[in-house]
Amino acid sequence: MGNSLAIFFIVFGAVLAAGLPGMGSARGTSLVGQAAAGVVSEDPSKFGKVLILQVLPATQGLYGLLIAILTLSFTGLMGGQIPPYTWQQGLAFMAADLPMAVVGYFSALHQAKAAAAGVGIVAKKPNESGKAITFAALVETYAILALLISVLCLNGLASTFRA
Amino acid sequence: MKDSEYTYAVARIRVHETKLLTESELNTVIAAKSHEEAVRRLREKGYDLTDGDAEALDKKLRETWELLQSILPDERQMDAVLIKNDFHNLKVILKALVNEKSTDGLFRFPSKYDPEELKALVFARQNDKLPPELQHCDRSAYNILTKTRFAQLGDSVIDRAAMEWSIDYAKKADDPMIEKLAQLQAALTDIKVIYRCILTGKADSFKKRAVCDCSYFSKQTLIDAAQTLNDFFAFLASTPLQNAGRALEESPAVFEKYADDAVTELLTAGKSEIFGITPLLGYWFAVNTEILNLRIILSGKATGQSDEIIRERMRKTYV
Repeated sequence: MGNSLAIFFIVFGAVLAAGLPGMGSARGTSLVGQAAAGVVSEDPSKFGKVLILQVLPATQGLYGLLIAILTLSFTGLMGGQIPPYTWQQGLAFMAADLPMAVVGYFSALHQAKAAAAGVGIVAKKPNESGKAITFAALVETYAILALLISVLCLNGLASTFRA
Repeated sequence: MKDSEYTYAVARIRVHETKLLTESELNTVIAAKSHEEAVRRLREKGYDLTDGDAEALDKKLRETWELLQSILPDERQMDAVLIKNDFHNLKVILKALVNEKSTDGLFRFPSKYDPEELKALVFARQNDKLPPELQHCDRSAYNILTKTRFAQLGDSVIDRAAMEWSIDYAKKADDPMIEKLAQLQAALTDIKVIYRCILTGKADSFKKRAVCDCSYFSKQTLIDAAQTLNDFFAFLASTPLQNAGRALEESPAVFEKYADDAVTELLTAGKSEIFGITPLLGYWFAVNTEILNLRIILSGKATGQSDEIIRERMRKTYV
């Protein structure tokens, strides 16, 4: 029973890590994509510049996927050889996924807003596109910090529980 | 409607904003030695005036409206700017009916309802078939015009109905900019109406029927303060629209410029917004202002007015 519950928490954590940032990235790239389409429909030569802005909120989805894979890998779920975890240990793995899940979702949405505003800069002053990208890229910092803390937690938990 | 639903439209408008004439570009047109040179300079900036000044500028307005209609997720969102023209058109139709005159060239564009359809209904006195927002003021203004022939009161009743409708619509629209715009326009219209009332010695009972409440001042406070011109200007000086009084003291034409500039200033504050309807409203007013400025320049050049006089009449630009 303890192991089944542990497996449930581990899988649920991995699902959250992949799902929430993925949802955030999908919504974010859609929002920036609409703004980008608006600009490109008037001036197709700006496609390259607005594409970079559209790609920015997509990274959170990739980070989430990475954390989900690491969770399944560190816990042994991927190879099918699962140690006898207690439910508390399973819950700890799930907690390790949360920084990426939560921060990934919200940072993707907020980065998309910054990137959509950047599309406005590209529309009016194409030479300032570097600044527009910088504004949006700064939001990425917090997704990277969340990714880092989730990786460190997963690694630490896996080492501790195996020992 | 979610603000993010305007993302596509706002991005397209941002590109179009780059094509608006700046103040320095307008100054180069003003500096033209003749009307022909002004037209040539405008052509270099993308304005094709070969069909004649008025027709070309009307065409530009129509094209802008068609663009907005094509990109708006829900075109009813622009009712805030449309319905005022419907009320104006109703005024034109009623005057034409009572005075047996033509409406040719007097309708305002764009409007929510087809002016010719409105005309047919008003002429047939099918009041109940008119759009609900126009029914009451159509009845009131028609009674005033046919029974008393008091044209100014008839106009004022319709203007007041338009303002009250705008304020009511703005409250329902739940958009801070639409509400601020409606309140500002109502206040400016009230000031204009009261000023005329004082000049023509109208009684308070007339003023009560002609003005509406707004966030800048209550109707009663305004009427109480408007017994003489000096009292009225002193009252305006104590409101956020203190410059309106100063503009009126100079002349009604200066006030008209002040009113247009106040609207542009309000909308310019929302120029940095990335979502919502504000950038679209701003662009629509910006194009209207640009067209008005070009009319001022071109008519000034055609009639040989000095650059100084033309500059004085020019409205503040959005970009």
